[in-house]
Amino acid sequence: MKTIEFDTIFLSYDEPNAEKNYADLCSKVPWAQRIHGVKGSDAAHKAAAELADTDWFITIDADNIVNPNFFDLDISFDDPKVQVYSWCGENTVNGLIYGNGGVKLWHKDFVRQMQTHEAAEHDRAQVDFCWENGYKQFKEVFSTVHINTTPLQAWRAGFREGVKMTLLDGEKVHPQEIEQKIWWHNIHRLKIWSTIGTHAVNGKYAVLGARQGAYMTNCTDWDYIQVRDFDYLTELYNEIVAPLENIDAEIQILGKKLNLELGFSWPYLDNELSLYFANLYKETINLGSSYFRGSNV
Amino acid sequence: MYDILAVSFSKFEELRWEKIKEQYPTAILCENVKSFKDISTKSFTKMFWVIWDNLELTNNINLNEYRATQWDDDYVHIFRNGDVFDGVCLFPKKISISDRELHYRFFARKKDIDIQVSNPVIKQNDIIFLSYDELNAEKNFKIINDRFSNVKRVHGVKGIHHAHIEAAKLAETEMFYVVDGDAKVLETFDFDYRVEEWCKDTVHVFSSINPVNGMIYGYGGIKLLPKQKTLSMNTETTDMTTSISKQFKSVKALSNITEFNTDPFNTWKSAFRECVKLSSKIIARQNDTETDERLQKWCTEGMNKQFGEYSVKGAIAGKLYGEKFRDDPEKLRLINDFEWLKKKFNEIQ
Repeated sequence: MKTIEFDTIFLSYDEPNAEKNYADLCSKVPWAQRIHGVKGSDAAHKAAAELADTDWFITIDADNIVNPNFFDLDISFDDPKVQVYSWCGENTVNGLIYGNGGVKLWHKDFVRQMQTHEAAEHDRAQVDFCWENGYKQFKEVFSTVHINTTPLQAWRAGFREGVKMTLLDGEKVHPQEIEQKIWWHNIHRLKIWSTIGTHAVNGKYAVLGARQGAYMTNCTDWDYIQVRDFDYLTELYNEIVAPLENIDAEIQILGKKLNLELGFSWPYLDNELSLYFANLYKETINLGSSYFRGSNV
Repeated sequence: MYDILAVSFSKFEELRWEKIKEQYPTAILCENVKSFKDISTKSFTKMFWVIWDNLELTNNINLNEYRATQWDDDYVHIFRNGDVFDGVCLFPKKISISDRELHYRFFARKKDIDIQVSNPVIKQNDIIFLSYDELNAEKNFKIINDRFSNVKRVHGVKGIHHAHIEAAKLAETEMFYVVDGDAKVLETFDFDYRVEEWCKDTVHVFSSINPVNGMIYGYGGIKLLPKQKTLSMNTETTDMTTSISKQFKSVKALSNITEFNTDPFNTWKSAFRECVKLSSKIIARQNDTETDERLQKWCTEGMNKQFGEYSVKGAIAGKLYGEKFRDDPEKLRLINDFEWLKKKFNEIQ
């Protein structure tokens, strides 16, 4: 089936670029529908499922701009276990490419029955979706993720990933075991979130947020489950970030603390170095399709 | 040279088909089309043209002379139709096109070609005037009936959903305009809005002027509704427009003045109903900030206007009711029962 045949639902809560991005989506899929302002990720996705008339439906997060080629994809549902298909998004601040914020195709019944985030019964589903085997991640990128319209938006995106990237199945691990127990892809993503971005508009807030998220989760007794509550995160931002006079200095202070307590060695990259690395990272990803290691090298 | 097909989902209008045949004698007629396969199997060329039944060709180009470039001959080429890209199509024979794409004439794999090949055949959609007991209904009906020949009227049907279903039954066009009994249509509004092919299942609401608080938005505005979807709407919902179609378009063009402030009860009732809808946030597409601003104005502005105090009183009562029964659909549905509203108004006075 072609992706354009599924209902497309745009999910927004309070994102400052939501109107612009929804208008862009409607130019690509004029019948795209929208769920706005529903609190809680579980509830918002359930509302989307109710709105959809098709058995499978596509969700587009409000900070996404979708590549129009996405709607020309052919999907074959050859594995009945798979309930969610996900495509990568490319973060426009730090260049990371992964499922975070990417386009997803959900089975309606699965969404109706799932219990995650605010509706979770188990610890592992408190802060993220819990897909078990029913999840298929594609490597292809079909959207760009624009997280930096305002300082708050950039900080929140970084903070959330800073929290989530050090969790194992939704739970904290001992600080000394993070490097061993956490999947290296997540550690890599955390490194990038915590260092790259000062060259982009509001990007330093994303870097600060990632460091604060990692620090508060692993070095304090802060209840990391609150990361799912956007209203709480706005209050937290107003309390701990808005009063700061020197964001760059705070990034560096947190770098030292994280080094002392968790052993993470994250340098502070000014905007020149950050831009240089971001470009190099993009080139490296492109080179990946030309060269790769043989086995056991 | 590509095959040329004249395509209709029902029956192609004979005169129009004759005209196409005159210009393109080898054109093939395809009627009662249900899917893309019904069309593509009729062609034997690598690509083929489709002339839809609601287009008037402009003769800007000779279709037999146009060639798609080799590097994009796997895209649907869609030509400008007036000022919208929903006109003549040049399809690759081997492409896969879903029913939804075909129905809305909007394709995932497409290339807009900025050459005007046609103009839309704009059918004058029926105008249905909907009145119940509005004191100014006769005057407002006369205004549009004197100007337009295709005005019909539904009067006295109880329940807002059922009144609209009756209006849809009366309409003979695929879409139809609904003018409420208290709407004084502006002279500048001509009922000639062009609907893009992909919006033909969309509820369109035009802007109107509120004479009490001065706000301009869709409250009481003229609506352009899809007939079939209106006929099959769920009558158990509080907000009628969202139950007709999930696709909604707010049109900035000004259509009318909503003269709801004709007497104490009608003024109170209108303000009450609107503010219940706003404060209960039952309309999924509502923007919270905009909604709060509107509520604030309803509840505070217009005291010096005719029956303005009843508008403000109704708004405040509606706001409280909507907030209180936000999660009680049965209680919210009562705002569509005009007898219940009358009782409630009498209780409060």
